[in-house]
Amino acid sequence: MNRKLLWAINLTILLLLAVSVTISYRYLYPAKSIMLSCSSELYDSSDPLNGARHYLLVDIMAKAQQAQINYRYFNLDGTSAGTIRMQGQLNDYDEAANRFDFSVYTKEESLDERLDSRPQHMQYLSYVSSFNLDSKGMHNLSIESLDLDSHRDYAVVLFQPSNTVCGCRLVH
Amino acid sequence: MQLGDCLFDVQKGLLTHQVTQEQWQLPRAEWQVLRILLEHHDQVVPKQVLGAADAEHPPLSDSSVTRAIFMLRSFLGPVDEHLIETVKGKGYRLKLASSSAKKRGLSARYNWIKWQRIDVSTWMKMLIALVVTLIMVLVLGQWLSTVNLETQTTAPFAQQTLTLESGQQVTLSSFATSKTNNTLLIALAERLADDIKHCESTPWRKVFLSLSHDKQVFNITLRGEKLGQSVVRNLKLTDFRQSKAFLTDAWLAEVSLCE
Repeated sequence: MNRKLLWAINLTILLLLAVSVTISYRYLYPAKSIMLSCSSELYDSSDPLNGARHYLLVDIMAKAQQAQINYRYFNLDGTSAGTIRMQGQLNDYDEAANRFDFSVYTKEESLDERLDSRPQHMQYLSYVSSFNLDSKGMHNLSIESLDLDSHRDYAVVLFQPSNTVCGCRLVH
Repeated sequence: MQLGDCLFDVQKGLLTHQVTQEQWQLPRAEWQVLRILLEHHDQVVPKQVLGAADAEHPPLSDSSVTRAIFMLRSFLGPVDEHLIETVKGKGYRLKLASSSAKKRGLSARYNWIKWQRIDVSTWMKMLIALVVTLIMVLVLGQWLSTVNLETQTTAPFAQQTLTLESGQQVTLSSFATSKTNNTLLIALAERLADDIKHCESTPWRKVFLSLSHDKQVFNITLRGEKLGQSVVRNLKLTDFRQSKAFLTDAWLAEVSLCE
């Protein structure tokens, strides 16, 4: 094998390694960050006569590898009905699907002293996340953009595996 | 003339190893010794005969003959060196009759030695080719997994476009994790579509619906415009009962989806 061919092979290997390392770095350390704020009206369909109605504010923040999701529940009069704070990491960002994958490792809950006013949605979220954290040690979820209007800073996203659609404001 | 793995051109005095493709132009002593051994193959040939003088050359000394035998054996290699046998006190014998049988018996050893004979540069070539192939496969796999040009966003399970009395159109999209067992979601979408159809007009252009995987939470997201501003409204209905009743006339009147 002549010397030129050997050099060509060496340079090719070097180039392939450089490309591979670059792709791996981008894959392992997605530079994408996200900050969403979503507000919702909550209704307890099983108790319509008592006007079981609450508001929910969800703040989602992910930067570098850190992720935080805060659920804040409010009564109609604006007083707090409880909060759930989840902390974890951003595992992946799928650019083709515009989807963020998270793993939540810790959760803090603070409840209103009057347990009867605890929103059903909060009970539901608390149960599902606790179940996953207790059994698997983590609560995995993904957020996928279904309808994005970056000019007006709005996005409709789909949470999985809960299969929840939600319209959110993009925060910069 | 075939000698084990070697081909001997008697006329040119050229010995070629067919495995390594190595060629050896025999010096006079080796050429003469091998030629005479071939002429008397499978017979004992004394040193004096092997080193006899010819018309052009003087006789070879015993040590020259011994050295020529050594060189020939070296070139034949460990597999075929036995072809030239030393008969103590008498001379040498080139064994051609039994060589093929012995060669069969030595085939395993032969294969191993054949591998050993591949020189370092060949091993390097093979190693480089293997490394390059491996890296290319890894990079290609990684590239395919990261550079996917097809959009993989989740498609709605069902979608319908409603036309209101004013001619305004509203798109209603339902999202489900499975393509089966969506009876409740379909019924809820129909119920909601009936309600929106009765609106003369509405600020909402798109309606997104989903039912949680355990069918405990029904989510409605309305997307539209009011006074040139983008607006979103999220409604989440929770019902833990066995028989679900997410949408009622009273609730629809309360939330007033037309506004």
